[in-house]
Amino acid sequence: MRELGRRSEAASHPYKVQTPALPVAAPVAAPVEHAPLALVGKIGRREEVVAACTGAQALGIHAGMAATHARALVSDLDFRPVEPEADAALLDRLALLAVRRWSPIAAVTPADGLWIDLAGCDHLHGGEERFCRRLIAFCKRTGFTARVAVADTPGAAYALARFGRNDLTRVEPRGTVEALSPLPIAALRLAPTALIAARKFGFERIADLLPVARGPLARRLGLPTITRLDQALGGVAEPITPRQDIEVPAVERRLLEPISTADAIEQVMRDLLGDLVVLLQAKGLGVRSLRLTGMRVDGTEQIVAIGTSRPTREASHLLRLLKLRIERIDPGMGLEQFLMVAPHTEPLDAVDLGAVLAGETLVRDPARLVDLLAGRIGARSVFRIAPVESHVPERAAVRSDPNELPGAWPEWQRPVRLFARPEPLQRVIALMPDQPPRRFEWRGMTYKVVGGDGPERVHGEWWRRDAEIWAVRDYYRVEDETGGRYWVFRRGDGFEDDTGDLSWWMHGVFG
Amino acid sequence: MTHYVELQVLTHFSLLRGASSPEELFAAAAMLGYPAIGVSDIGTVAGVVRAWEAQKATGVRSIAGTRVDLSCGRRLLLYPTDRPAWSRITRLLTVGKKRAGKGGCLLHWHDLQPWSEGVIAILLPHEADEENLAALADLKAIYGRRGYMALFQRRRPGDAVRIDALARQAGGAAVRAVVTGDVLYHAPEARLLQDVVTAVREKCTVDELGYRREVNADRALKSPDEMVRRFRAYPDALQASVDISRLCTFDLGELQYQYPHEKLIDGLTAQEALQQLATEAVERMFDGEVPAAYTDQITHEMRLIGELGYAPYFLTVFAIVREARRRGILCQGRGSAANSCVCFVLGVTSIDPIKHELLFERFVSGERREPPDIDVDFEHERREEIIQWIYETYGRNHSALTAVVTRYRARGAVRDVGKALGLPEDLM
Repeated sequence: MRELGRRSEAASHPYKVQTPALPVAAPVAAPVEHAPLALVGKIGRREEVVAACTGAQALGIHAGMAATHARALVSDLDFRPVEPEADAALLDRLALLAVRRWSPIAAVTPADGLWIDLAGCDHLHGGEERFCRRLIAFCKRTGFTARVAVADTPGAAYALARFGRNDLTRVEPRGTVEALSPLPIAALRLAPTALIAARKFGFERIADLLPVARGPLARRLGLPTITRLDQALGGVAEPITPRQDIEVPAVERRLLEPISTADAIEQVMRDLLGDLVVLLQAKGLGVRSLRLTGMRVDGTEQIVAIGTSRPTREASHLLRLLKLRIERIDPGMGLEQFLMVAPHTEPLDAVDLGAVLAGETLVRDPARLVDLLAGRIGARSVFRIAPVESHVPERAAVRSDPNELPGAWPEWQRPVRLFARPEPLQRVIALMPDQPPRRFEWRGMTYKVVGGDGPERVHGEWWRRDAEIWAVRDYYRVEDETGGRYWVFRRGDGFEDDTGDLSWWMHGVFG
Repeated sequence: MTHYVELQVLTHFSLLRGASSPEELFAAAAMLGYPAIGVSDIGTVAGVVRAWEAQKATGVRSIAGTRVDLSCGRRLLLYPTDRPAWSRITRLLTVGKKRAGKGGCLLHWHDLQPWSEGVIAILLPHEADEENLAALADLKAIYGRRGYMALFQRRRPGDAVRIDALARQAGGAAVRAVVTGDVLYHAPEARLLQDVVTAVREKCTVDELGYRREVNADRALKSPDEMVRRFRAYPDALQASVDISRLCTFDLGELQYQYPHEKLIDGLTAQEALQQLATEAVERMFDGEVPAAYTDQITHEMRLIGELGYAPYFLTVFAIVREARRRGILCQGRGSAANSCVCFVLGVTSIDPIKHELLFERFVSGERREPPDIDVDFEHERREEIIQWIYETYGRNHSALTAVVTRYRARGAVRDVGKALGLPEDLM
């Protein structure tokens, strides 16, 4: 490993690793004024405070405290459930950023740190010292409280970033032993059992471990402890597995002569897609978004972009989508260079066609139709109505992803067109308490009802709003003389006053 | 005279389905002017005792019954017309409960036939479809004229059409329809509690319930006049509810405690046997020269035991104690039984009530009219031997460890309701 080779020549490249320790407790912008916040999670069978912000700590809340205890101490504290996955994802994004901007070798150290291998990179950022200051400033801007340490080995950097005295620690080459000696043993990333054993034997600081003979030490604290110690001091190599950056697939065409006709642009698109598909095939990827940049002779750029709802690498489908965009390209004096990149890709593997071969009906995937429609009218305008389990009609449906198959709809009938807001009816004549209206006026027209069904009683969802606790709607399906079918309701059950004011409303029309 | 009697009522003894106690339901029924209401908990009759107590308090007659939800999806309300029919219904439930284990009641359609005599069955239909026709035919075959079909509103689209079709189907199958209210709670405001209870049953929060929430939330007890107004198109079905209530004459007060026969000595009645055993024992104790105090006391006790008919019970306890002694298992009677000289001479207790001047009436008394209980402690390591001996001697069907109907206590209720409302666990 390259790591190893470098470590052996530590004298020439002294500064290797640095760790911003990012306390997960403060993912919210730190300098902003906010209510004291504590994160609560389940440790074993106990609800515990996992992390507390400085404001909460000032109130006496600390990690490891029972959640009930904390609530009893400060009742108006902002308690939120801990989300370890979200923390990890955020840290991973930071690692990716580090790989892209600072050093090709950077990795996450669980559960709250980053390793960045600075060897050979620091001069690009104006030297080590300056880089560290910029790093701390960057973290502060993005809302993290960061501590940075630079040391010869990852282990030492880990220890100093978490247990060092200052927010920024730099260890001179070969100064590792002196720097680490005063730190507590916990800085060595030891297993809990080893820590307990160490406390029993009276080892408190790393300095206590150094003079002890290796053999007895390994017997008492376990071999992993020795390894951790050696890793921190540089005796044993600890390679960093860097965060892999995904390479964005891109293809390019330079033209001999500038082009400006739609046909010619389409031809270039086709050629570029052909190249891109080969590239994607090799990587097993499918396109979710595609950007085509055309360079004009006058040096300006023309950019068009498309998106797909499912990963795809089908050239014909992508071409159809791209062709919809040709009219938006202004060729000006002519285009002489094209660059096609796929900024968003997703893995696309072979599809199991077993069911199709066996003669079963293939569920038709609407993804292509969705892409085409979205290309013309915008992605927001293409949606599917999906059911939500609620007895209140306006809550029973939501707009959802058009590609997702919706769940089952309840068996009772609902109008084809449900009004977002019910419209009031005037001059309603109806027998109380459970007969459909005989006639009503709606939007200035009079309707005479010839048939009706109901009531269908819908109660408010009392746990949502106080106003809904006793609210009742009695729905009726009515048909007028001309055959139009309407869905009307009356607020109130006709007995109790607090169930509604007995006003009538139109909530939808049937087909 | 009202023209409607409510026959489909769940109390909160249908655990996590009904939301109101029998007391609340009967108080509401009295206020609404019901002469009687039926109590039909799902797979249990646990609610009828409290209902009977509530009847005494409110004057509304309680008609004890049960509801069985069968494995085939059919649901029936069962009401006994008389005491033997009540026994059949409870036997039927025992069959189902033995099969299902704790808390359940698993019954199949073919279980109904043997226990159907004198029982009124009301079929609770789902939709007016082929399955319902088949159910009506099966019902007719088993219960004949005692089979009915319920008509109840669901407050869903097409409700009127559904009820009409059901009434027609019943008419076609020559099964009389009867109006019911499908009551889950006593007053409209208990609907909130009902939702919470459903959430506890489904182990989720009220918000996540979705369609598992009762679709028809119009399940409060309604006044007889309102029910008559709603079902005025079906006067016969309304009348049927009154007729059923008249047919069901069984009252819980008819139930008497019936102690099984106990024979330790052939040819003698229990009283004679106990007399003989006591006399023998006391003579053995004093070597034939029994002090008058003991003879008088035993005669006094035997008279009272004879009057109240408790002799078989004393014999049972004596039999168990004798068996324990024979096996050399330590045992000791305790509590109020120590006041009895009969228990003392038989060796059930070991405190001499004459010597200590204890009063027998504290144990059994003519005024108190409640059965005595004799606590006997057995050596705990060998207690199992005695339990097994009891099973062998009296049969597994006739002996039981005491059972308790589980009811909510405050702590558990607060915890479950908190969960249903989505409060964090550490708040509760």
